[in-house]
Amino acid sequence: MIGYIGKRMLSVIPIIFVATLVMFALIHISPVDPAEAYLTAAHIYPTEEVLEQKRHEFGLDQPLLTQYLHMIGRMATLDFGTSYLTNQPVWTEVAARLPATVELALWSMLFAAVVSIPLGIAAAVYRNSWIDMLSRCISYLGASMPQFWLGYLLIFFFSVKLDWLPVEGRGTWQNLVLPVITLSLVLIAVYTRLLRTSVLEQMQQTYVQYARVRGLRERMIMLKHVLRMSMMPLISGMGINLGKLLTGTIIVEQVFSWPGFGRYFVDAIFNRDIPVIQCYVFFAACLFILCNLLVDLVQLYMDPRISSKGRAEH
Amino acid sequence: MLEVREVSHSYQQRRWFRRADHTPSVLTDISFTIEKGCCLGLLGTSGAGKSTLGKIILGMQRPSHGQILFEGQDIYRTSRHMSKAMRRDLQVVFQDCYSAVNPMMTAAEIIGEPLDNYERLGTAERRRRIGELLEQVGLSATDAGKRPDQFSGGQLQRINIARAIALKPKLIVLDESVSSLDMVNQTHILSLLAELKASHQLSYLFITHDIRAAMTLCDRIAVMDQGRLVQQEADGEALIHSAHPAVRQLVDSILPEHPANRLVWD
Repeated sequence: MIGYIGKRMLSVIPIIFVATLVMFALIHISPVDPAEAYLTAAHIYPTEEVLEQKRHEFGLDQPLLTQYLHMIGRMATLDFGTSYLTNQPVWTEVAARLPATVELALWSMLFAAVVSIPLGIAAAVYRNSWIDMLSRCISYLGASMPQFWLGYLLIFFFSVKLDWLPVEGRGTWQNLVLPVITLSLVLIAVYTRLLRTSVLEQMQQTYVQYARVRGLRERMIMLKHVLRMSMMPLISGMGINLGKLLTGTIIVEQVFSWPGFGRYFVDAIFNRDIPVIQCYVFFAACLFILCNLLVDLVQLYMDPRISSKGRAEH
Repeated sequence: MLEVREVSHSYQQRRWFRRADHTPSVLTDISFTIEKGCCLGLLGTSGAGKSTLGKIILGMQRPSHGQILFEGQDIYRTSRHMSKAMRRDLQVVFQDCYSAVNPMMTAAEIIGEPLDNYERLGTAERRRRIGELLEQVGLSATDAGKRPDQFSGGQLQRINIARAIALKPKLIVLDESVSSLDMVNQTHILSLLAELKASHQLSYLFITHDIRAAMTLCDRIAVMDQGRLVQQEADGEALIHSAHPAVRQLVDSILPEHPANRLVWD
């Protein structure tokens, strides 16, 4: 098991390698010169002289291969350098914004799970009842409403009209409510449908119908035979979404002025702030691999057949 | 013990804008009884209605007409579902051994499930009972930790049988229980069923299309054709010489031991 986890962790290396290569290529294909972008952002008139100086300072005057190898070398020691724009170490800036993003991501995921799991199961068990209709309405709403619009609607009703919750910022639990709802509604929409379908599918399984004949109570059938298998697609979905949430939710952070790093990274892209982009790519690749690993481990635990099949093949 | 009284059944076909008028009858006026310790074979080609009858007896499908009395109680009378106590005495072994078990559970969990459902046992006692049941069906107690995909079809069907006898039921419905197995396993399972019947005083309703299997295991054989009971015999020999075309068809399907010995019934 530990060997398996170790092997999966090592797969981070080639993925980061490819991701940085693509990133590096894209930055250099783009017609915008990082030095020029920096000067524009700093409101300095880009004369040839200043440009040359900045290029030299950023190491952009060296051959591409040297630049790339230099970047890889620094990444291997987890040193991302200082931001072109703010002259602050990238780590300090990311570390300052990380807690806000993680907080928002985890609460949104938790809220989505807490709402959608009971709702999805109830919608499947009481099919075509009012609760099924309700879950369908929530799903259609959640799936079709753009997040920025939903965010502004929630602000309009709950903060401006009713004055129950703060408009923006971070600090108290009240600040969390609206962004969490905005982010999790689309997740709830997807998870509820996903779970409903898979619960229905499991309930059609022959052994589930036979369990009824053998005198098992409905509740036991759900707990022992239906739910465990039904959770599998949901877990894969949650893993992917968790990665997405943790790499920053730019629109929602923008709407609620949430001090996460979504905005920071978008700005970095506009300003061709290479060290920051580099850090982001590295961070995102690691996160997605970790989330996938987590999903696989949970599924391995839930469905022991996966591991026994693996053994049979080797 | 089990009495089937004038059971008729037809599947309702609902259509838009008109009520179903011409519903074909799946079962017509079926009556028979199974006494304690007795095995009734229900024989018929596919489509004869034997599985529908099995479902009705198991409480999965309410018949359009007629009654099923188990130990004198009408199983469809009390409520929509059979009572839990009644289910305990009426167990079932299905045809497809793989789809009858949860693929994620171990043998011990599969066999232990009815025990947990009806009896409160301590851990040690529970393990002892499961080991005992595994040995009764010809497996070893060390198989308890294996999952269904690690068993062969014959072994898995033994586990299904162990699960069915775990609660010491009075009647077991064997719905084509050996049909999906190969000949060698069929013979083994049939002799296992015969042993268990003697040792546990079980009654069986043995649903099958295999006249030889029915003759090996059953005390009495009823032949169904197109939803009707066409012949009931206590003696298999009488069936072999029967003149009824449906029975003929089943008898003729027996493979001879040698092609040259193929029986000609004219």
